[in-house]
Amino acid sequence: MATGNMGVTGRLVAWVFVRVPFLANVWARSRQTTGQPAFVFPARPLSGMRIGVITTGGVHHVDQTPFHRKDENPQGDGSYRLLDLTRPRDAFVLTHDWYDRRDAERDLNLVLPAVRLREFAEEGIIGELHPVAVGLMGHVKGEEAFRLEHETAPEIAAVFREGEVDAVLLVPA
Amino acid sequence: MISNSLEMTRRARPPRAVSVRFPFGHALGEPGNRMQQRRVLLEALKLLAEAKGPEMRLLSHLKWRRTDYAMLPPVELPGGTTAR
Repeated sequence: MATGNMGVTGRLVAWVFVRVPFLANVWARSRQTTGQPAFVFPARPLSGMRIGVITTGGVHHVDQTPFHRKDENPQGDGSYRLLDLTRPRDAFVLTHDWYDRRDAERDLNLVLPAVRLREFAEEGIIGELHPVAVGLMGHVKGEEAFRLEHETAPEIAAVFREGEVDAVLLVPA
Repeated sequence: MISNSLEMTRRARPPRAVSVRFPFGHALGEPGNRMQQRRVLLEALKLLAEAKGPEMRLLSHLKWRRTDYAMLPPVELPGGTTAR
């Protein structure tokens, strides 16, 4: 997983956002608020739940098409990748221009905490980790944000519904 | 969800969120810090199990590099289970 393809501009933006959170918040305030919270009560105790994971850290498999980088589409990439959590660590890579990925590449749990959640399953804290996670690339806008909301999100919901997942944890980058 | 930007999360309006003041790319903490990662996840699971409605919980007691996560008291989960 090379970090060299992140580009100088992307590195600079990531560096500024990490070190000057105020600017990140200014950017956040420009985002559109969406809908009402879709709250439901869990159907069973934690110890019986099947937990799914969505990461917006740009995680995908080495043999999948990478997410579009911002020089390929300035609006980002509103598509998703299904992640087989039974595959070894070297089957996962990260493509994302908008954060410093180096620590996440060292420890994938920072954006895809499969190892930690498997520990909880072994300890009986949760029932099990759903073996298929979903990878997204954050920082989408315009037509790609529309695609994310109206095409990608319903397909992801169907994936977890068919997998009889009780709850999904979203981990941002 | 886990949030590392309160502003962004407020706008996304998720059903449940725990929010940490950690840098982007580090919503669960530092690389290799197993106890820190477990702590953030346990707080998220606790909220999942006990929330009575949409809730965003700021985990202001969890500091980026100034908390000894192995020394924190365990998280009390609904049902009487504790874990750290």
